[in-house]
Amino acid sequence: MARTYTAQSNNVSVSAVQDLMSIQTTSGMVAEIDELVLGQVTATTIGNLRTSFKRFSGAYSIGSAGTSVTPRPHVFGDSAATCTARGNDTTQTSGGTAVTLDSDALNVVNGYNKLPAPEDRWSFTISQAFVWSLDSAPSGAETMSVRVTFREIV
Amino acid sequence: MIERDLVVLAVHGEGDRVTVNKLQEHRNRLSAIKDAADEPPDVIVVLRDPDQGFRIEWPVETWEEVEEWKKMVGFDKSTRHWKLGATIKVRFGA
Repeated sequence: MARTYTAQSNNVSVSAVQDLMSIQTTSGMVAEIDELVLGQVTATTIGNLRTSFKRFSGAYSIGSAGTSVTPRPHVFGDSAATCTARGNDTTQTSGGTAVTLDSDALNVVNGYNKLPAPEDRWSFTISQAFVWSLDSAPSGAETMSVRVTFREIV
Repeated sequence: MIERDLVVLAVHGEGDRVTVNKLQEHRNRLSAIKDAADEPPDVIVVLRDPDQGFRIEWPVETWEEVEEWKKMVGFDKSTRHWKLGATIKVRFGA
């Protein structure tokens, strides 16, 4: 059985390199990343930015300076997530063992959407972190919304 | 009276009132609908019975209660990270 959750950071001013969103599996849960979405309402001209997706394990330090995000269950009345989420950490996750799973580029005018085929989704075992990193800074502060939809594999 | 030791499995949501209000202030500037000046907390504490695996979820409703949970659970002021793994004693009684 799997439970689906969305972690979202809504209308946040982004002006620096950061962990847009991170999902930690904690000690009691494994998870799979279903979908990643980014949108913004500020820029009206092309702004190409680098982005990457990472797995952290071992003695890593999760990012800080952003906020702790409450993942929302998709099913009404479902349990609160066991995985924890953070958004917009300008002090990025570091240490431990980091593996870059993929990297990409996005144009802020178009936003970004990544919806892997079910058999291609990244999964994370206990005590790991998924990090969606923005690797280059926007030309100016942009109000962005970011969401990560994930499933806990019970 | 029933008493049980439960372990803090997860804490969701930002525990810092100033940060929450600052983020909402930014959103309010973009919105025609202005929300309240002081945002309510969006914090959920997830506790687990270490022997049985049963869970209790506690939605924290006031900032005063958030401060109480910070003392019980542990909260790093510099990083604003909740700590996990503390043991909380829960009592049920009429």
